[in-house]
Amino acid sequence: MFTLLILLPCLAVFLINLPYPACLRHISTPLAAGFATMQTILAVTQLTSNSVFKTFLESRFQLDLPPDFISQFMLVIIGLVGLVTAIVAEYSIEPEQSRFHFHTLLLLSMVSMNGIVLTNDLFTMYLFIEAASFVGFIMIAMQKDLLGLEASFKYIVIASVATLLMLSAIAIMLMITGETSFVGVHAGLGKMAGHPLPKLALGIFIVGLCMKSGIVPFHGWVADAYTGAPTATTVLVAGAITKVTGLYSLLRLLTSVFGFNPQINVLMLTLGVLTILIGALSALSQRNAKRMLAYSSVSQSGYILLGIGTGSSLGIAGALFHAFNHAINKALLFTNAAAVEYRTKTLNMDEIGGAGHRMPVTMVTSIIGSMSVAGLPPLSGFWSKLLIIIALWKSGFKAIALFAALASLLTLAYMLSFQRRIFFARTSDRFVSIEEAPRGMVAPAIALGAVIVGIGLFLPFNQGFIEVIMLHIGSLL
Amino acid sequence: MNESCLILSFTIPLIAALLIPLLSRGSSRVPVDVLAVAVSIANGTIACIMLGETATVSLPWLGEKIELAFRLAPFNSLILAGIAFFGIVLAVYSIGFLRDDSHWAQYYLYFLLTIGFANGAAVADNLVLLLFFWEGLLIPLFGFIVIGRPEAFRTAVKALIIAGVCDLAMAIGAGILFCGPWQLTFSRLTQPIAIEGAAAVAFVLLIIGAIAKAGSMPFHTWIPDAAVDAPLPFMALVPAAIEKLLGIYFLGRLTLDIFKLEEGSWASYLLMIIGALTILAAVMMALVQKDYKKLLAYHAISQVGYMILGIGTALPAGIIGGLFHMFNNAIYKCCLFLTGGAIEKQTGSTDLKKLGGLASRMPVTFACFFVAACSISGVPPFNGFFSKELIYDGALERHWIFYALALLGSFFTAASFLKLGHAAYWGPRSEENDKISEAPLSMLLPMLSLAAVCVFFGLFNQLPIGKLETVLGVVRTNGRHFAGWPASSMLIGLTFIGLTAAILNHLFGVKRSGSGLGASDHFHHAPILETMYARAELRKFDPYEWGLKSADVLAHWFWSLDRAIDWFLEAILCERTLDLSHTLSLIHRGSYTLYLFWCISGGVLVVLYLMNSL
Repeated sequence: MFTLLILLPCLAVFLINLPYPACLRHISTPLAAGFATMQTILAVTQLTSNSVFKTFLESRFQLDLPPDFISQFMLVIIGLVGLVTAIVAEYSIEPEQSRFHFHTLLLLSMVSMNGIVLTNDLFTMYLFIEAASFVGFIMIAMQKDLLGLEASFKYIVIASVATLLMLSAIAIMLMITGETSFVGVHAGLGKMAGHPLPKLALGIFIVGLCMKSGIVPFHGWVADAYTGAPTATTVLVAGAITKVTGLYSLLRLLTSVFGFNPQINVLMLTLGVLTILIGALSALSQRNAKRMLAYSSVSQSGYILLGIGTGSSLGIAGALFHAFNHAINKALLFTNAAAVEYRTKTLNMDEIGGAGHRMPVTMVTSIIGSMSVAGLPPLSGFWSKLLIIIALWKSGFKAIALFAALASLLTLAYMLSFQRRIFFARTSDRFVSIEEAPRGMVAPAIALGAVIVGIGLFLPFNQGFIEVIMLHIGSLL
Repeated sequence: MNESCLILSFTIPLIAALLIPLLSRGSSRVPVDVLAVAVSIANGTIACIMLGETATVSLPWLGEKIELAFRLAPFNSLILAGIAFFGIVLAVYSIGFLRDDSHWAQYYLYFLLTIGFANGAAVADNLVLLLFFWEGLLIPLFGFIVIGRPEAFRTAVKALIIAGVCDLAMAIGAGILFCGPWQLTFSRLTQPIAIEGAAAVAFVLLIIGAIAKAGSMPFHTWIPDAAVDAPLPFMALVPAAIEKLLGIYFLGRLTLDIFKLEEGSWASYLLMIIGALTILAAVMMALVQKDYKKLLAYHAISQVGYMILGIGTALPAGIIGGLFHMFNNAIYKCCLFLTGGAIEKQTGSTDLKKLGGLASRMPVTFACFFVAACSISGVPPFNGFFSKELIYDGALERHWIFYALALLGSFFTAASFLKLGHAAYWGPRSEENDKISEAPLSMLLPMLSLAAVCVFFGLFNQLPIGKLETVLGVVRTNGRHFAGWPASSMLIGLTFIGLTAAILNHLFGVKRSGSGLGASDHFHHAPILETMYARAELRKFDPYEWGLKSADVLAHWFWSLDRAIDWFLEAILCERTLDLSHTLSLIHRGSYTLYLFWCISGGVLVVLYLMNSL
């Protein structure tokens, strides 16, 4: 049934590209948005009606994660981010012709991401990763301006190195195990304990995936790509493409194929700490709003990596939840940034100043998003960070748990600076008469803000969740 | 019946107090006046019904030791009667006194709150519940002082801080008892707690709360300030009457029922020393005051010393004398303050330099003053004489030095009241005071009734003393009776010698300085005393000022610490973080070859790490 999620959009892409009269082409927006909604609803109903999810909750995160739980969760993220992207594209992509192309590409990227998430074969996964990256290249350079082309070029260069590495890794595994399916490779590697080749394959595979997801020190392309791309693309790339092609694949590789061991944990944690620190510090001194959010994205990927690096089911749950929150938060913040840019025609935070007086809804929603990124209770970002920190503590990485908690201060610092410089500083004369962003940009912002607040407020009342938190905190003390 | 009266005794005034803001919306003052008097009379009726009765109300509250327990016993029924009496007197008096005051509505609000909380504290049978009402009294205390002169705010804060700190001591004492094996409900104590170990600490802390409420040294310093700043009926109601009643009542409960105060124990001596020092130091200050109200305020402190001394002896004569003195003092001191209020109302001043010769203009006020002054000086047959003789009796039995100090205190008391009376009511009259008339009836009636009680309690002292003997119980009094003329003729003789000496001293002082006001100048300017007085005027002996100074020093230290932390955060942490951040943004210079180089070196490191360590 999930195969439909790959086939349907392919069909849609095929159908809308038939040579109809051009006037029919504006159905592309509802089509893309509709598909994304359908995917979200389908995945959510699967998640909640699935007994696996219930067992998962009831067992208080003690079971090994079922293989398709992670995938279903990722489908929700992809669907949501796709929906937001389709809506934001209405204002961010001009003219209508390129909006039509953008929606086609959006559907294709969803096809490839769904493919990554649903496959159980290494080589298939690789193909879909490549497809997603290629769609990304085009979407980043969508406006054909200099910044976009430059960003796309950097992405292509680094992604092609990543391709090379991943393909080599898969080749090595095929060579030594004769298989490319997860189960087959896993079984084959079991017999090769102590051999250096699998380690080499794992190492270069991890490096390749880190390049795709923009982990420090493989993050050079991220800031340029997020800044140069149209906002709709940024939402999609930051919220879904990097997370699915990089972090989800990494998680899948570690859980289903190689398995965790202390060395990998330490490697993941080191990369995670480095990513959080360098990302946050770089964000602190940015002048361009989107660039600051880009570095913030890098920094938040570090938290996801920390969650994966614990190797425990609680940590992975935290990482998934954080990926979800990150997608929502960043979609919201980039939408806000796009709204401000739409009205002020600039993203230089020092120029904008006090837009808050003129754009109250944008201001309030972006405060919600920022505080959720910084991990302030009771917003949803708080709970995922809490889960990750608890998981770190329980796995014995107490210093890193402390670091993760303290690094929130840095997050808060750049987020407050972001807020102040865009919304609360002195209004410059140029912008005294700007208006609130158009309804099409305000509506998704409100919806995303409501999701953040809603999850943050209602999650603690979920008996299962409370028990999880209580249980894990209880055993800490 | 008694049970419901018990609850009503504090609920009626508190609920009525909440009605005052509603009733004072209009411009008419009549509803509020009527309400205050009606509640006072209702309170008086309840107190009369309950006088001498017993009742208990006990409900579970915060846990096993802390319960909502109220108890009526002979002792606190007397206190309730006292509070109710002063409530009625002051309610009537305030109608006249506050006629032109803009804060009348607030005044009555605080008035009723005071009555309500005081009643609650008197009937509370649990230490925590008592603390609740005790702390509640701070609300009207603060409010009363604030609505006085415009600059009264500092005094109000001072009173609040001193009272708050002492109540905190009491709360800590209660906490110690709570943690120990003792009951907090008084009537559940099977036998009094021995004063030793942790209980001794708790005892001292609770005593601090009790004597601070009564206004003893060294917790007294807000009272003279408030005498100048606060509305006068407040002085007559709270520091002169209700706080004395409550403080000494609680001291009595502590030493009689809750703790076992033995004769000759250190605790007994501690109380006696505090008492004797308070008598002498405060009366010396009173002697040299040049303001009617301030002089009375120091006497209000000084008289507490007698009560603490009497109760501290732990002898039946001393305890009964101390408790009797508590009632007597409340009556005559209230009366004295009311005469001061009458003078302030009619002349507009209480500065003794501007007063003089008022006796012929305000004869009724003068008569009341005369009776009350004789009472406080211990002239027979007024009530103060009998209670003082009992205290002398107890003090002399313990040690002659306490007796001597108390007698010296009496000498100075008499001397200062001779001076006060002379300066205010005799002597030449200034021109602006020539046309003044007697105070209105609503102010005279309360004074007259208080003066009458002074005489009545003196002539028929067996009535109050008999009640107090039942409070103490037959076992403790050993069947003795303390009413009537004092038994020891030596004590009477010495008292008369003291009074005569005071009159002679006054004549000497008047002759020396030429005026009634200067009658104490030879003490004021005596060699050592002069420097002491000068320092006292500068508040060198005020513990509150010491506290403020040390708080300043502490604040300065903390400020420096705060600056240091701030400097660390600002100059070290934030600046370095920003430097690092700028460096990082310089490194990200957008060159894809550089990024590629990072990627490849990072990748090599990762692979090497995995290959080597696995």
